[in-house]
Order: sequence, then C-alpha cells, then structure tokens
Amino acid sequence: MITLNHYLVLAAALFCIGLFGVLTSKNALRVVISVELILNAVNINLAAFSVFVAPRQAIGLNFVVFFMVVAAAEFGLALAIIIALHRTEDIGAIDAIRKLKG
Amino acid sequence: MTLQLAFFYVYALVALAGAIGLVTARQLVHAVMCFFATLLAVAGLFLLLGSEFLAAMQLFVYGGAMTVLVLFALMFTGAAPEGGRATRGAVRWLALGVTAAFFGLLTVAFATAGWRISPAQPMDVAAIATILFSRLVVPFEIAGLALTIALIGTIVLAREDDVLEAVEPVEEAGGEA
Amino acid sequence: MSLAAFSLALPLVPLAAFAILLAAGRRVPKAFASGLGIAAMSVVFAASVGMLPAVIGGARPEVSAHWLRVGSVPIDLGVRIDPLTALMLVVVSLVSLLVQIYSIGYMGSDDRFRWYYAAISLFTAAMLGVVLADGWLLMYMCWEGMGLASYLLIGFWFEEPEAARAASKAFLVTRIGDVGFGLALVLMWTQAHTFSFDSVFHLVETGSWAGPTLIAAALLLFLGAMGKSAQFPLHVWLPDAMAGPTPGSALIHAATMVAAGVYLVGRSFPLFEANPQTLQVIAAIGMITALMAALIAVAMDDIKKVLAYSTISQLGFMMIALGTGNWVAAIFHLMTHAFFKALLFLAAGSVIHATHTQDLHEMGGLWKKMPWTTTTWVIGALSLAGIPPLAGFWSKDEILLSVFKSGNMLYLVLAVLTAGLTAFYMSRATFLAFFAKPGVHTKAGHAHESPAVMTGPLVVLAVLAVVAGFVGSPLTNYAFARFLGESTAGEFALPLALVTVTLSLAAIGYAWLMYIKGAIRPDWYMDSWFARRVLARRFHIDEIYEYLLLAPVLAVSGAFGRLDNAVVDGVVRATGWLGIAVSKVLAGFDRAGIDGAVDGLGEGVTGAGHGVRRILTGNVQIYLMMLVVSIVVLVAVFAR
Repeated sequence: MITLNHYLVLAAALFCIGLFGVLTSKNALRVVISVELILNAVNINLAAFSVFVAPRQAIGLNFVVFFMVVAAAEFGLALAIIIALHRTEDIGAIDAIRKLKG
Repeated sequence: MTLQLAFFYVYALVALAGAIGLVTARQLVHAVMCFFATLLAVAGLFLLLGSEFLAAMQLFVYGGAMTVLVLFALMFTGAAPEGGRATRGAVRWLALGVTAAFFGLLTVAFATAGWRISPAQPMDVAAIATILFSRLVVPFEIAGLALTIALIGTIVLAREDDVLEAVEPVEEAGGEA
Repeated sequence: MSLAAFSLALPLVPLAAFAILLAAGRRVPKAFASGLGIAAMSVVFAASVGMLPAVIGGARPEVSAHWLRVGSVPIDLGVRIDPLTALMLVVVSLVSLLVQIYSIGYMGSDDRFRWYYAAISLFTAAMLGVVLADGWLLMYMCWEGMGLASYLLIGFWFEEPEAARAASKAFLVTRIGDVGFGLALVLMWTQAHTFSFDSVFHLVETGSWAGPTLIAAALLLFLGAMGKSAQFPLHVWLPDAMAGPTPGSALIHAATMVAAGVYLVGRSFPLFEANPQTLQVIAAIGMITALMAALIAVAMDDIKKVLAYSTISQLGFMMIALGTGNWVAAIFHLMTHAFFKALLFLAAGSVIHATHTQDLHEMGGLWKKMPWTTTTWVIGALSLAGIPPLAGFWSKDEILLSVFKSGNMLYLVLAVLTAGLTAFYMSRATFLAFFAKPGVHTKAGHAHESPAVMTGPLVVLAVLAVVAGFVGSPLTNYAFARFLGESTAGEFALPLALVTVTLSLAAIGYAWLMYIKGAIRPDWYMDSWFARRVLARRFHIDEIYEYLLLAPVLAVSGAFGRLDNAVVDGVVRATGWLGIAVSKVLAGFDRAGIDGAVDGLGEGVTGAGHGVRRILTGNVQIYLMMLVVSIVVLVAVFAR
C-alpha cells in the first residue's frame, strides 16, 4: 500500500539532491537543471498531497499544471540568460561571476 | 507487496539514480541524460498517483521540450568537460552534510505530522478541466500571458547585442515624439 | 564761625592740601604745589595768631563728637584749645610756613617737588591734630600720622639706599615708643574707661586712679615720648634721619615732631606729678641723653650730624625740665629751640646748597660769600649756646634753675657742663664752616649766597631767635608762664646765669683760639682714645643694637625664609610636580586606556566587519548554502 509518506520522502530526497546540485555545481547549466529537479520534487509533493488529502477538489493537480507552466517559462528564460552571458564571459566558471561580492 | 508498490519502488529508484547521476556526472551531456531518466520516472509516479494528464504533461513539457532545450543550450555554450564538480572539496562535504540534515528534518517532519488522509477517488482529466476552466480561468489566462512574456523575454535575451542596439533608436524616436 | 568749629578746621586745611596734591600728581605746575601748601599754612598761621587774644582772654573752645561705643562706654573724639595748644599751633604753623617758603628755593630743582609739599602738608596736619586733640586716643592717631609723614620725608630720596634704610630705622625705633604709647592707652581704657584729658585728670586728682597702673601708664606714655623725641636709648634714628631733605629735617626733626614727645609729657603732666618717681626717671633719661649727645656732637664732622646731636641734647634738656617738675620751662625751651634750631638747619641747608658738601672741613671762609646765611646762623648758634639776651639764654636758664631748685647737684653740674659743651661744639662748627681759612680740600670756592626765598625765612627765624625769649623773661614778668596758666614758675637766678654764660663764653673763646687763631691745635682731643673710639663712634650704640637686636632677628627671619623656601615652597613644588605627574598618568591612561578602548572598539568592529566580509564572496552558491544552513538550524531549534 503506497502511503503518502512514500511520496513525501521520495520528493524530499529528490529535493535534497537537487539542492546539493545547486550548491555545489560549478557549471551554470547544471545548476539550472538542478533547479528543475527541485521543481519536479515539488510537483510530486503537490500531486501527492492533492491525491491523498483532498482528492475531491483536485485543486492540487491544477496547481501542478500551473507550476509546470511557470517552471517551463523560467527554464527558458534561465537558458536565455546563460546563452547571453556566455557571449561575454566564460560561463563554465560560475564562481568567476562575483558581481555580488561584498 | 502489491504491484503498485513494486512499480513505485522502481520509479523511485530510477528517479533517485537519475538525480544522483545529474549531480555527479562529469560530462554535462551525461548529466542531462540522467535528468531525462528522472523526468521519465516522475511521469510514471504521476501515473501511479492516478493522474494521466499530469504524466502526459510531464513527458511533453519536461521530457520533451526541456531536455531538448537543455541540449541545445549545451551545444551553444559548450560546457567545459571538466566543469561538473564543485572545485572546493570542503564545501562539497559541507553541502552534503547540510542537505542530509535537511533531508533528515523533512523526514522527521513527515513522520511526526498527522495527515488527514481522505479516501481515494478517481482522478481524471475531467476533474482537472472542470476546475481549471471555472474557478481557475483567470489564472489560466494569466498563465498564458506569462508564457507569452517569457517567450518574448527569452527571444530578447538571447539575441545578439547589435540587434538590441538597432531597437534602441526606435525607442528614442518614440520617446521624443 | 564759632571758635570751636574753627579749631576743628585747622588741621583739615593742610590735610586737604595734601589730598589735592596727592590726587593732582604731576598734572599741576610746581608753583601750584608750593603755592597751595604755603596758602594752607598761611591760613592756619593767621588763624592761630588771631585766636591768641581770645585764648588769652580765657576762651577755651572745644568740640567733641561721638565716635563709637564699646559695650556701654562711649568713645568720643574731639579738639580743644587751651593756652598750651594755642602756643603750639602758632609755633608749628609758623615754622611749617617758613620751611615751605624756603623749600621753593631749596627743592626747586627736584623732580618730586609736588610730593615734597604734599608730605610736608600731611605732616603739618598730623602735628596740628596732635596738639589739638582733647584726648590721648585722637592724639595717638595723629601721632602715628606724624610717624608716617616722617618716614615719607626721611626716605624722600628713596633711590639712595642710605635714605631708605634711615626711614625704616626711624619708623621702627619710634615704633618701639609707639608701642609704649599704645599700651598706655590700653591701661587707660581698662582703668579709666575714657581717653579724654579732663576726665582722666579728674580721676587722677581725686585719687580714683592711682597706684601701679597709673605709674605704668605714665611711664609707658613717656616711652612713646622717648621714641619720638629721640631720648636715649631710642635716639639712634635721628642722626640717620639727616638723609632726608634739609628743610624737611628742619621742620620735623628739629622743631616740631621731635618736640611732640615733650608736648605729650607736658600735656599728660598731672599723671606724672601724681607719681614723683616717674619724674625722676624722666629727668635721668633726659640727663643721660643731653650729656651723651653733646659729647658726640663734639666729634662730628658733618654739619647736619652736629645739628642732629645738638637737637637730641636739647631735647634731653627739655626732658630734664619736665623731670624736675617744671613743664612750663620745658615748653618754653621747646618754643625757643623750635625757632633757633629750624634757623640753624635752614642755614645749614643754605650752605649745603651752595657748597654741595656737608663736611665741615671742606668749608671755610663762607662769611665773605654768604653774608646773610652767616649772620643768621651766628644768631641761631649764639641763641643755642645760651648767650643773653637771645632767646635760648632765657629758656635754658629756666631749665637750669629748675634743676637747681630740685636740689640734685650732680644733675646741675652735668647740665651746666653740657651747656658748655653745647657752646663749644656750636662754635666749632661755626668757625670751621664760616670763618676759618679754607683748607686744602675746600669746596667753598664757588659758593654764593642763596636766593631771597631762602634767606627770607632765615631772617624771620633769626629775629624770633632773638626776641622770642623775652616773653618768658623777667622783662615781661614771665608772661609766658602766666599765659600757660602757671604763675609760680617765673624766676631769675642771676648767679646761675652768670656761671653758665661765663662758661659758654669761655667755650666760645676756646674754640676761637683753636680754629681761628690756631693757638691750640684744632681737634687735639680727637687724638685721645676716648674721643676717637667712643665719641666718634657715637658710643657704639648703633653697633650694640645691631649685635643684640638686629642680628638675631635677621638670623631668625633668614632661617624662616629658608624654611619657607625649602619646606613650604618644597611642598608647593612637590604638589605641582605631583599634579603634573598625576595628569601625565591620567593622560597616558586616557590615551592608552580610553582611546585604546575606543579605537580598539572601532578597530575591533572594523576587523570583525572585515572578517565577516569574507563571507560575501560573491559566490551565490555559498550564499545559498548559508541560507540552507540557517533554515536547517532554525527549524531544528525552533520546530518543537
């Protein structure tokens, strides 16, 4: 019997792995993909909750739809930024971008 | 062990393996492929949850469009082969520890929380569509608008700079007029 | 204006002159100063003379005012005029007036001309106050005022250290006498509770005040008189006072102030009469003084010193008169002495002014060049020597008669001897200065007679030195004594007079032989040990004082001075050093500690900031890491 906790733990694990990727990846592209991984984990979470906790309203699933839309838009923009940045600097060295250095 | 549970574990395993592969693969292309595997597994999970629509959407959007897009971006930027790992080992272990801790917290939270589980009901496209086009129609339209904006933004951002500069005199003339 | 109010105003006139001259300073011309002083004194003189008929007729004006109250006893101050006071007023104002006229010439070239006249006016005002006072308290106040004026005039040329020292010496020595006067006042207050003459005389006459306290009070008053009248042993200031301007000396140290002691005793006579032993003391001191001073005068070569010792000697004579109970004779001699001594001093001033020397041996033959001065001097000298019919003869004779009547033969012999010595040393001085052939070192070459403004007063005084004595002679039936209210003091003893006159003439002749004829070797007696070591050294009295009194006092004050320097100043310096050291420590503490703390705080914060700043690597992933760490920590800690 698949319980809610199964999905939640799995989502948490995926989230954490994605977080790890965000924190440690040197390549900007990998970072962006790790972010998508996180968003996927969130999607699983939302869907699981929607099905187990409030199946009648099906709101959660709609939320997932919207989430996917936004994630897709964000993803496209992020890649566009990376491509634009690639023209001016070597994006391969993400920690070389230190514009936020205080 | 029911069949559903077994499938769950299969999907879960694939997803996890793909995720780990994403963050650990040296070559970026390999990482992307692993990610693709994860996306497929997630789609399967959606099926298990009873929402075919979501599974299909996942496959279309993530599996199809996103992966291809990433590969295109990869081709444009040409990521360095050795660039795939965090350079500082200490930070990596710290990150590992932190994420492990976070995971620990989350599991503890799930374990101690008392979810009110409702009896399962069939999830189908009609259920989603009904709410989407009645209660959530305005967000729906806005989502469409957001997508359009994102599309335009992506095009503008990814363009060559001289093309952008060609746009500016028009904006200036518009400002004077 | 009533006579009483008039008498009150008399001393205020010269006092006002003094105040005006003091305030005006150098802003007024010299003639203004002398003119003001002379005008003031003329007014006083005229008033004094004008008052005489009224006083002779019996008027006794007095005015008294309440001053303060001690407990339930009031102290009043006031003035009163009786014959004695009236006489003194005339003498003082006349001599002061003549001296001021003379000073126009003598002090004319001095820079501090105006101050001189101010001091003279101040002195005269004080002296007038002394003789006008109706009680010992007011007299004492004016007495002190005289002391001040004397100090100012002796030390007139204070840039000369000799003059400054002489002024201090005069002040200190007379101060000893003044202490006596003050103590007498204390006794008077405790015993009689009043200072007025009449009240105290009444107490004495009725016997309410008698006994040891009265004797003590009387003797203490005499101590005051000894100081001012230069009696032995308080005479040492008078010869040194010759450092002041000669006309000032003429006024103060010959004619008036030194006579104030005699006046004091004369005025206080009932107190002495009540206790005859006090009179014996006075007579003894007077005798010693007279003889000693005459002996010293013989050995003096400075013309002013001769006159100074002569003054001391004559004051001694006055004291002898008082001591033998004849205060009228004392006052008589006071008057005649005032005239001829002032004359002699002014004439000496004329000589000094012309020859610029005071040494008798540097003069000689001045009679040819300075006839007026010579003539007036000779008259004064003869009067002093007691040659009839000059004034000095009558007054000195009265004194000798009084001694004779007291029965003390020793005193009589000594007094007559002293009179002879007087004649001798005056003749000596006269011959050496005016008639002897000028010696090798003479400065008499370019001498010339003094101007009329100086010889005029000489003439006036010379006339007085001749005629003033007649008022106390049988020729006027002792009008003087009757004027003063004593009708029993008039007598003339021909034998005594003959003896003294003969002796005086012999002395003059001896001197003539010595200094004019040269028959006797001049100053032969100076070869003797006594003359050289004792007389010329003035009996070493100054040295004795120096050794016994001055040296110990100076040693003690020097020791205290060094103590003050070492200890007190040391403490002060140590305190200062300590203050500086403490402030340095505090400053260091402030720099190191406080500034250090403040700076350290600043630097600490800056350092911490620098340290914290290293977190901001610009690496977004690190930022994210920190974010996650924070979330983990927060959730772990707070989510229970």
